Amino acid sequence: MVEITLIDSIKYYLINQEYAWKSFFAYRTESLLWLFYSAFTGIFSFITITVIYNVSSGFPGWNYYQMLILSSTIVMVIDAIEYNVNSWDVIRSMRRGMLDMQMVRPYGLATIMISTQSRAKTLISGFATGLAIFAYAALKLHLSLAYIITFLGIVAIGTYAFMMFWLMLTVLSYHLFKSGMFMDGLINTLSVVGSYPLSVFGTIIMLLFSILVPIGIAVYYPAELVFGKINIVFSLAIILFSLAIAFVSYKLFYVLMRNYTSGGG
Amino acid sequence: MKSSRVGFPNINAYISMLMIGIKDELAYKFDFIISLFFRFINVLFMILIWSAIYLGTGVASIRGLSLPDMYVYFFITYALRGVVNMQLPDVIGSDIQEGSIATAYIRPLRYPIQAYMRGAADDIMTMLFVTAPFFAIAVLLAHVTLTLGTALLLLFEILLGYVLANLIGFLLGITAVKLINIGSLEAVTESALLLLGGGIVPLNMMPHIVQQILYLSPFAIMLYIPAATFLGTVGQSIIVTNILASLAWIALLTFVAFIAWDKARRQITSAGG
Repeated sequence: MVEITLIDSIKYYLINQEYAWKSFFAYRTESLLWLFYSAFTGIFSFITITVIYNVSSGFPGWNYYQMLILSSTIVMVIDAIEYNVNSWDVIRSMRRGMLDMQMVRPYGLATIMISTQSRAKTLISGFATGLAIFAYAALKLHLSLAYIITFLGIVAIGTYAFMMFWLMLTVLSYHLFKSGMFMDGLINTLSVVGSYPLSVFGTIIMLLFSILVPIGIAVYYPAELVFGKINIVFSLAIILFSLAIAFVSYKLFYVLMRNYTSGGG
Repeated sequence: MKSSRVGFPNINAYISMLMIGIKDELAYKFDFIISLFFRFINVLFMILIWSAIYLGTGVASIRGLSLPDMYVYFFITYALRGVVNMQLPDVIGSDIQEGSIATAYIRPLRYPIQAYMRGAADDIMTMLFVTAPFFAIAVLLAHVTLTLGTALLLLFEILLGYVLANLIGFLLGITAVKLINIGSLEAVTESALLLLGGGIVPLNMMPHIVQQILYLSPFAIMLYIPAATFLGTVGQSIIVTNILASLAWIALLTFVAFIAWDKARRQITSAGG
């Protein structure tokens, strides 16, 4: 039996990425327009936050540049998640039976799904726009490199955890609805909710997006730590919670995949 | 033999296309319900976000809009998004991409009207199940009694927005003759419409010079102007300017659509099947 190492899985992921990028640029005009569109998300957030702070004092306890950090980080996080787990594509491939032929390969199911079923390559421009806005705001806030690295480190752990959660939720959504519409609606809502401090939505919604659909672990809480709104103990708890979410989601993903039946062929 | 395409269209055939489209839409009831649910949730989040801004700023109104006005504004703009929901690029784009334009084209019907009728099925469903309920909520929240004059003005503005959205949609759709896959162009246009039409922030909150430009654009009439007319927060001169600009845009885009279609239809090739 073939023994698959982590290096093999990474190689498999990278080979698939290379193939997907080549296919993407086969339609050059189309791909450039998609890249342009994807960059819009970050620009939208930037304009919205700028207009809000132009006409009002904005959100209590959050200044303009802190809000830019928050909104640009959610753009990067959502784009990174969708780049790897594009629910619409995953559910479509499950429904049409396209996933089945990939499943015979000797890699883990999560690796196969992340490597082969997501082609949202355009999101790279959205990510880049988010990064540019983030860099601009960080410069204006005079954030030290240590702070930025700490922040991005916690964001990366939260993003990984949320990506695992998203993969599990995508399979659950396939079982329940056989359609990508729910996940599509949810990711759009998360982009809106995550762009603002969770505290503005009230306790119930804050808990909902911290525990049940934990986008807060990837963006809001890391930002709160960097801006001194929560202490180090609380942020350690957030990191542990993120790791727990990743572990439970991974296990649940395999439980759900055990009951997977293809929708067609 | 004179083609029946030349004479006035076979109206029953077009109505049948519309009915088939409606049945097709009804086949995806669950997706429609989910989409409606998220639209509603997103309005609620916008309301919560703006509530935090108003409470944080500690003012009763921002640029002439009170907090309750903002609630109504977002319900109205979400209602109007159902009206200016462009279907034509999808219909024409997929016809060209899938090759079904070949069969559509040999029918004794004018293709642009066929495409419009198929898109109109989605328009009707969205207007019934998104626009009407969202508008009803806005009316309930606003506690306003519209005068006949304002109601007629509002309807006229909405109609102008609908016509403009369809003209832009048609022009986008026929770019598929050259580009084949126009999903990206469609997404860019829809996003631009949302931002420039006032779907994200009311246009009167934009810098003055940007407002002046946007009032002359074809986008303001689609969302902001009807919403502001409903709320009574926009001056008559701005409404008149925007209506005149919209009529000019309709004339220009209709002219361009005729020319563009005349050129495009000669270059149509079926891309697949």
